[in-house]
Amino acid sequence: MEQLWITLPALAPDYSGVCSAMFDLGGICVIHDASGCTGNYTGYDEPRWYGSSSKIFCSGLREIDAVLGRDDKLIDNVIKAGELIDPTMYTVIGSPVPMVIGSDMKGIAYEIEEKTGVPSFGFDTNGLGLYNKGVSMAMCELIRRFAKKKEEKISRGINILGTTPLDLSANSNADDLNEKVESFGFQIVGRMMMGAKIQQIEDLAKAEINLVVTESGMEAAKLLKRKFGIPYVVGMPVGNEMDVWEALEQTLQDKADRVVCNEGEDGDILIVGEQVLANSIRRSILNKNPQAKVCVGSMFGLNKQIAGKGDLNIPGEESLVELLYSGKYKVLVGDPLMEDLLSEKCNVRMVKLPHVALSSKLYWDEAVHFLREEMDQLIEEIIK
Amino acid sequence: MSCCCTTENVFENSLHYSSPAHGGWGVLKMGHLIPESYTLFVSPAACGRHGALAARMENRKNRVSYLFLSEDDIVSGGYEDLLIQSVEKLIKHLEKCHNVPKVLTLFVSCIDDLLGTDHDALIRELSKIYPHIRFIFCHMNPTSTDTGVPPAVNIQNKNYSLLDVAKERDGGVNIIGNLAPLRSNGELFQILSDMEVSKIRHISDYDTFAGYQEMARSCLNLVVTPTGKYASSQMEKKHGIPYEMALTSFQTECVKETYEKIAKKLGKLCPQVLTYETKAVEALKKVAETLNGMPVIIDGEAIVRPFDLAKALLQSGINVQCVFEQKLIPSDKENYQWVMEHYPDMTILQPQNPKVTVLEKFQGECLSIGYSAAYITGAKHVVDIAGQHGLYGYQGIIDLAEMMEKAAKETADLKKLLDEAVIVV
Repeated sequence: MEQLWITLPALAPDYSGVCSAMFDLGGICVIHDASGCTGNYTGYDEPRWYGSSSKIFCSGLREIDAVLGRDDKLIDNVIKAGELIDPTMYTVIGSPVPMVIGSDMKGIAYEIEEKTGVPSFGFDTNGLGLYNKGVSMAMCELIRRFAKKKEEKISRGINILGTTPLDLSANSNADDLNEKVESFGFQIVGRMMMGAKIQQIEDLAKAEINLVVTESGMEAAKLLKRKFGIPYVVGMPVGNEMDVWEALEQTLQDKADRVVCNEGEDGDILIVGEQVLANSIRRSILNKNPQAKVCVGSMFGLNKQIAGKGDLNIPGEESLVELLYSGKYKVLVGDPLMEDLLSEKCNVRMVKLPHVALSSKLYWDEAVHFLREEMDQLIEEIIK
Repeated sequence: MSCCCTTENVFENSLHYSSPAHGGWGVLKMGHLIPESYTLFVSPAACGRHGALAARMENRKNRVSYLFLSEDDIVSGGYEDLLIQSVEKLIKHLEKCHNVPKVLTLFVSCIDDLLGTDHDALIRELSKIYPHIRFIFCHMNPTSTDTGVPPAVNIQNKNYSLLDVAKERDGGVNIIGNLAPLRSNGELFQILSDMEVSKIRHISDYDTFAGYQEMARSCLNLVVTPTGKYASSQMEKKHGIPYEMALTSFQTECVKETYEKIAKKLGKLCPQVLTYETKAVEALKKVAETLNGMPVIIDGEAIVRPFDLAKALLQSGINVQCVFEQKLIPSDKENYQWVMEHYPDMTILQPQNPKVTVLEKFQGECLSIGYSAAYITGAKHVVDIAGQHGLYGYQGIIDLAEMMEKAAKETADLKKLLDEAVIVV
């Protein structure tokens, strides 16, 4: 029964993904909800919220508004807030109640744009989908709206796609990644989405190549390929490994898309987490020990385009428990909360890899720096 | 701070800003006051995330599990079979863990109000299968905030609705409405004892469901926060237990009036309170001297009736400059009117109004009573208090005054305070 989660908390939802993606763009975001959905995002899914100036609000949806379909009240309040703030854009974001009453979030956004002349977006998120889909939806909409065809290309210009604190936390991972990319002679055109600006999105087509660092960036990469012919490499560089950098150089030469992902072999080590990062950890393990049996599992919907053979879609807590007690695995690499599922009976050793999209603020201060030595230490801990 | 609102537009309708300091217990934690209860939260996955994480942070996660509804369940409007299967699976799991609850609270979220689920039928069916467990539906539905029974009121009623009618009544008194217990150093306990009250009961006193049933034997409910009034009125109907509004106040004359009301209700003489009163007045005088004109900001998320406190502090010569309150509650209206009449320049701000996101931070020394106001204004000094912290009576005034004095002497690390507070919206 995949819908029953006895021990683990729910995963970060789709509307948090949208908000997270929009966070740096200077707009007004409004989650159309009563309070709790916004509280999920601001309190538990956004490590950057404390001290930030981002304008992310709750619509304060009430029963009577839901019953009477008072979209006008939402629109009026959004415009009133806009007069105070002068935003670059408006974003209205759905939650469970708007789904049930059939609110047309895109229609509401259209009306806001008609009245204000400011670019507006509507997302039919509903709290049933997961954050990676929300990030992906937001990125694609922004690209469709703002990215322009460019004749000029920047030599070794690169877009980084899929950075979100829900995967990278708010430690220095995003900055480390930018620095490392530049240290290999690339010029960053677009930072999607940590550190994004509208101008960057307009200029995305100037890049020669896209680097997809999380699953959230996949659809955006495909869209940029279709629209502007930019090839992509999927891979999060970790520690001191060179595979992703080599793949980028090859793709610059032959313009072929690449997914830096090894084939998995079920058994021994199970990595459950963000799929691209999990692939990278597997790669690092196999670089050190080619005989190791390593399998990647995703609780966020396994994307087969970037999966190794035998990688696992884990639709719920029950499936994860079954895997852990199957006797196949000796090591679990995953969020520390997964330790609550283990017991002596399953005899699985836990290696902790905090993931904001699961454990939120419980462990986000302990998130691993993917590009630093501590990642190499984590790999050593896995294979010891 | 540059914003100053007129009384006409103070409590306006707007989008809501959710600052990192906004929040409180959340209804799930309130429901966990029922001893030996376990919660199955039935909702879209997202609705349960913050409550689960907060529960994990406070070591309560072993008292709640989740049934995540799918789009099909919601569209079809019927999750009854799924719920019954899930309860079966959950109870089997809890049996294995030797953690079978006496009560299973079934929490539903906002969408359930729109689906029209037949809760009574489900309770009947579940009670037939598990006669040793009590079942009750509870609501985390902030869409009902503007109704007569908002979530914080409803959950209090649910918490006491499991009390069975007692065969005998005793001389005990229940304290209703406060989530954290009242501070044990308060004079209330001595005064009630002087009024021959045999036992003072609060739901948090009980570790067992059987023990909690004792509350049905009390002869009076004292409602110390407004959210407890509805529950008390329902208890009066079901159990015949009368209630008296005995709201927390920081005005010494109001405290005295409350004790006199309680005495009258119990048919007793009110004990002398002058000694307590004198100490409270002295404490306020002392903190006024310590603050020496330092601006004070009161946060309605920390103090249930912030204008009551504002009036008390202003009358003691303390420089209250600003009150944060999202919506004026009826029991604080008179105090609000007094404040606005005597201090027409008082700044009133809604902590969730988008206006606060463009406010300039407070320049200079300033003391905030509560977190939200502190975050928004950037107050250097912060009284570490949420949900009124069990303050009551004259001793509550003294304790708050001491907390203010302590806070005025320290620079607060607000982020640390918030991390430790575990708040949920």
